[in-house]
Amino acid sequence: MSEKKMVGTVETPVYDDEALARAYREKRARQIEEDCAQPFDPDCVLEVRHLRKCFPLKTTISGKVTKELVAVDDVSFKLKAGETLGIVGESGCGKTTAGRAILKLHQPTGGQIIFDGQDITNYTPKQMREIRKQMQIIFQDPYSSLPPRDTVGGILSEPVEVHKIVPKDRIKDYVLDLMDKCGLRDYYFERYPHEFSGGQRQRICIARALSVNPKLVICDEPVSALDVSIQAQIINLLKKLQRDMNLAYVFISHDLSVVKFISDKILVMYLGAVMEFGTKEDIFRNPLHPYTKALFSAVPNPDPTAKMERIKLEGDIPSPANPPKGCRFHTRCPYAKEVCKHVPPEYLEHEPGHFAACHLLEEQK
Amino acid sequence: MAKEKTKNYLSGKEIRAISKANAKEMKRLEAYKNRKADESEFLSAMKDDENILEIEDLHTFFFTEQGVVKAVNGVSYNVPKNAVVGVVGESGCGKSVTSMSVMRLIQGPTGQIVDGSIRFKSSDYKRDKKGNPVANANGEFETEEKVYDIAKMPIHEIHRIRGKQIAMIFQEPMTSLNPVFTIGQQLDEVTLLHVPGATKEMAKAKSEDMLRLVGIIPENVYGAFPHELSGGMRQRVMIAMALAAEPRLIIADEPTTALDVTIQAQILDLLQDIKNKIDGSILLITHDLGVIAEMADYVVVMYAGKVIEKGTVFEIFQDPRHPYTIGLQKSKPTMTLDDNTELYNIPGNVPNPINMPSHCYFKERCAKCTAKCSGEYPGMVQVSPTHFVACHLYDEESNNV
Repeated sequence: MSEKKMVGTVETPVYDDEALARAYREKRARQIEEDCAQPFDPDCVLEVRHLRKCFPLKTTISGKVTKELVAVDDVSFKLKAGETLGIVGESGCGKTTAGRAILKLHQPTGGQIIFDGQDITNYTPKQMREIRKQMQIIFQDPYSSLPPRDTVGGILSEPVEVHKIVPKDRIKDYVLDLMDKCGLRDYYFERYPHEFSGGQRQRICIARALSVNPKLVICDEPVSALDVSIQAQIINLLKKLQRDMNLAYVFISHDLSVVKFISDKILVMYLGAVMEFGTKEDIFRNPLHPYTKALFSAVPNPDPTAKMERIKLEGDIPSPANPPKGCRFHTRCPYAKEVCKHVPPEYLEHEPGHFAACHLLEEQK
Repeated sequence: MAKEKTKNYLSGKEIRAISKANAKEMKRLEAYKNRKADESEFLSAMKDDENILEIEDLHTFFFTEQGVVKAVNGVSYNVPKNAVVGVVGESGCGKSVTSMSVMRLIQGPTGQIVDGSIRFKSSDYKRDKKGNPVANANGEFETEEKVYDIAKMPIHEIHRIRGKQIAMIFQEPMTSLNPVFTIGQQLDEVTLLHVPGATKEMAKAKSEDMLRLVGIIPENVYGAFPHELSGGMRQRVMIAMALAAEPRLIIADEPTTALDVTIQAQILDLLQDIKNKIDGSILLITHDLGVIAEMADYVVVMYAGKVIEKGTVFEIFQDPRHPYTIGLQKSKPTMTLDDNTELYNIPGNVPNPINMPSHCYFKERCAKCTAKCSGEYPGMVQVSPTHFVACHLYDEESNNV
């Protein structure tokens, strides 16, 4: 009976999932080893190689991890001074975890973080203290990231004092100068955070991050909690400060139009993995990955006459604790094929400086 | 420095004086809200029969210890039949408070509707003197069309409209679903409450239909608890719940703000689709100009408790008149914008809602401000049959309305 059924059906290729996964793992391990042995790029402020961060979900009594959530899987990029890298993706795609792992607020599980010519991946907290001066973070919610019991002056003076940026008697002048740069009036010095609106608080957060003269600032959704007119003020401020202080930004956001406005390079993430990476021009003019295309077409256009062709994504983002086999995006991809369900696509350079991980592109090649 | 301080802090004496005045006012309004009234007292008539909701000169105030916050200060707009009206504005501009006033969900005794009228054309069941629906000789419940003034209704009469005639979709679906009941129980409740003579079987069949309408397979979700669903699914359930009583007006208060762009696109498509399926109107409240441009037929722009511009979606987006509307559109980075230029920004902040000035509220942030702007608050100027703007720049263009 079963043999009869077989006759006439088109022969589909059979995939041995386990063997494929093993081969993929081995190949990747070789790749990572090779890449991590490369010399550091002296031009870059920050170089991230195959960054990986897992969180344990289940452990045995002896402490052995039996199940883990891979929040960030294989993220690599280089960032020069004065440049901005935008990380975009939906919630739960690991963009914030990536940002925090770069600052070592989470200890990375694998990969390398090279900051200013030093491999800081395995630095101890004591060693990190010196580095902290040079890398700072701005958080999303300005309402919960400021201490309510301290004045603005106190908040801004503390890092200057701790890291001994200027002599003690000059701290106040230094802070007032910094406040002026960030668009805060001098009489705010003795006020408390609750007296300010969201936009002003975000300015305080920016001033605090810049008080130690960092080289790199991670901006974790700095404008998503703000109104449109205030958002524009903060974006302009960030751009002006970047020009003046030659800062490198890692700008994490889910708002594509904001990312496009501020970034030089863009990294598109989905379920912890990089889908596409390239310069802003490349990504916006010629998005390669179907996910990037869908993401762009989903942004509502504030022009009622424009009728866009929308690539619809069905369903929800799968749980990162149990990501789909093969290509992570195949469950929602409108162009998914049989091969996508079994074989993870390779992350390849399709144009100079423009990387993407998709089987459809491999075939075109 | 000292001068700034005195401006921002109130003395104990001042606070006590404010509290005393507030308590008196709140007591009066609370009594008015809870009064027993005959139906004839809150029956009204529509100005234009094409409208389903007419808000006229609405004032909703909050009596706080720092002073009276005029959250909604003289707002007027209409929702026509089978249309999507988008209300856009920054946080604190009163767009949500207006919609809450329509639903009579303002938290008393601090928050009160002080003045104005909200006329709503309802199609209610015929009711007896106690307010219970009456069946006719065949055991059927007939409906009749009446115009109620929601602002004048006593609070215990509002159940005729709230949930049944006007439904609301809230921003945060996790906090607006009850975590201890299943989706099915919560959906059934709507039918059981609002459809007279409904049985449990009827309610379940109706709930499953509604879930199918919003693109959910009911078998998986009917028995599930809210925490088992993703954000997009929860918002779909909220929409299903709003639709279950077949309302004439759906108020969607930032329905997609908490969602990802791809899920947002799904929900917006669904709302469009549903608008065509049901014979009703949508009042869409959002701060996202993109969402408004895609969804709305008419747009109302609010600023600091007042409507500053209203018109059709094409008028507002292609020919914005008020400096604030123009600035708002320019300050939003778009996908097509040349990004080497500096982003336009409106300087300053929204003024403090207590002690609003008597001149135009936007004066301090406005680049086109003239001498006239220091005078009284500008009236609504009609610039086209459907386009109104409150700005002195256009005073000459047409007669004040």
